[in-house]
Amino acid sequence: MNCQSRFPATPAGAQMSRRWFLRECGLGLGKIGLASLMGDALINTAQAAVPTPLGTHFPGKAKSVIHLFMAGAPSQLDLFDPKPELLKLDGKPLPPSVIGGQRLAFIRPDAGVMASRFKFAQHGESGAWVSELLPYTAAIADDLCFIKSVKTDQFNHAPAQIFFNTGFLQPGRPSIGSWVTYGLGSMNRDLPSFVVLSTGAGISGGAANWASGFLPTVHAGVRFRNSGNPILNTSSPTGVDDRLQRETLDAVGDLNRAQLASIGDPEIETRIASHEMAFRLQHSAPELTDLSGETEATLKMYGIEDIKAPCYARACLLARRMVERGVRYINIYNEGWDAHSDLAGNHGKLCKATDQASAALVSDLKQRGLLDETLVVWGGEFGRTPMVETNPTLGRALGRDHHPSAFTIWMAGGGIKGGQSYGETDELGYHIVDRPVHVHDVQATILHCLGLDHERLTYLHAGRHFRLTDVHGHIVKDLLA
Amino acid sequence: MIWTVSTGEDRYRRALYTFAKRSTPYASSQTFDAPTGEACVARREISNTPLQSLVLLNDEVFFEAAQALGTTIAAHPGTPEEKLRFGFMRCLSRPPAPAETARLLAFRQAQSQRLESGDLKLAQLMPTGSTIEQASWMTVARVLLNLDETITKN
Repeated sequence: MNCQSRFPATPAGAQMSRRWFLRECGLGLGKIGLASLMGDALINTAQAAVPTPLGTHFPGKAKSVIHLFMAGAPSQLDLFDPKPELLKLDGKPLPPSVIGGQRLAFIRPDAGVMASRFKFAQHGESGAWVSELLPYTAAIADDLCFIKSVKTDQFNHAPAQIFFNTGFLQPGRPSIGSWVTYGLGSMNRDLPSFVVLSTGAGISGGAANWASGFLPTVHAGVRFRNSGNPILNTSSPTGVDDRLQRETLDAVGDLNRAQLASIGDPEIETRIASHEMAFRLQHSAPELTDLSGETEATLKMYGIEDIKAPCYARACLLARRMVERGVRYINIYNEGWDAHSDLAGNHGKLCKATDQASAALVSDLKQRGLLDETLVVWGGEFGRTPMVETNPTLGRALGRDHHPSAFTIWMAGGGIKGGQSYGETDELGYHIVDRPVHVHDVQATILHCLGLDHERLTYLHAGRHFRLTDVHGHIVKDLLA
Repeated sequence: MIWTVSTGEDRYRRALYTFAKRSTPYASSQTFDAPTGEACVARREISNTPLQSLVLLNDEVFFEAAQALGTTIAAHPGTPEEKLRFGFMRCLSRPPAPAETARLLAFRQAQSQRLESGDLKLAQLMPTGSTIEQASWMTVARVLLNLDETITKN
């Protein structure tokens, strides 16, 4: 079959596009292929611009999730997991028995140990250990659940980030936010259900972290800008009034729907939904992103000096406003924690930029009565080694390498019992010795908080029912409120 | 950072020639998943989001394109059907189906009436010296440029 993606020169040849192929082949190859992709959806796609959500499997405490993703991987040994033993070993190699045959990303197994330079103290009634780098987080320790025994399968950033979000190391599976909107649907038809904000440098895992994979693309995360205005082009062009805009979209929609009915390409359905969402965003987005109504006290709490200047704190405040307006899943990335060199400088700077706002977000949700129904998750894609990374060739000194075997995250609100620390690492912070929590377990637990059973939230694709947690994952019941 | 918009002929050069600032990528390109220029990418990311729809509907570049296409369609000789066919072919490389022709001509008729009555302001919608006919075809061009079939090449 002569199906070409580039339009041939002759007008008749223009018919030989993929669209023509799919449309004109009737019950041929194209439609069979699509039917297997879409199941029964092919029959009624024209009516349903947004698929009907499945609903919860059981009542969930959380309605929304805010994931503060510290991309690059913060050091648990300098923030939450103090190890006095490292002070004794400072500069000396770890016993070979500790490392075994494990490979590391940059350093050799015989690299010397680097003790943390930061002072730790216990905070709150729960006595949670938090270092001096995170004074604001320390102050709300009793609201947080620290999981000190998280482990992942991946030791490089992009695969580990994608693994944390999609349960699989390679791009192509749906992100957890997409699974959640697929399962629970929207709470506000005027805003996207899954929003991504990126602060700091770019994210190495890229858009695969919030892609919808094989789920309908209408469930993909929508990334707001981290520049002056988070959403551009919310005003119609001069002279185009609401009625013209509406009638234009009606005409576009009618023609698109006719295409959809004849071709059945699900991307057209997403395009229709995107255009309709765009129209509604023209009214809802300016209201959402206008921070001028926030009180001085609130801005001060988050540490926002200029509401127009993009920063992590502004993203956190926007996240609270989104939760208030029913956005289901919000991912705020803060990239840059990959401290292969000068860990103290790197973490000092990033903690300063994020600590106050992360804590303010939890406190702000709490004072507005929203924390019970909002799950906040803080963490990176893996941890960092107890050993020092020093490499004169690469100009690196006093850093830490990637460490997938043990790291700390915290969760708060929405179905999680605060004021506890869960799990334990060995005296060197290298291995988990008590109650390990795999990334798949974290995912299963997040879904559980939302009223979704990770074993029953499935999607038929390529002949089998896929899950976020694949064939793994256990709900960590001790974390639940 | 402020974007200085080019003037004269340069304003209408292809986006390929847009000045690339590594730290401040061109906003529309970013919305359509352009890589940042800070690192190599093995594969372009692909998405289909409401923010892209906002660009296609409301961005100045796309609106000016609709104005220009509307003016070109209006200048094409023939009946409204023939003009529409011309514009449709320009965007989609295929003639319109009868139902598509009917829908778009009815849409144009409705907008013409609003322009005639002054409900829609010609002076705001089009450059100085434009006619109502040109403006009505601009509204049709805007529909054509926002069709999924136009946006997605194959």
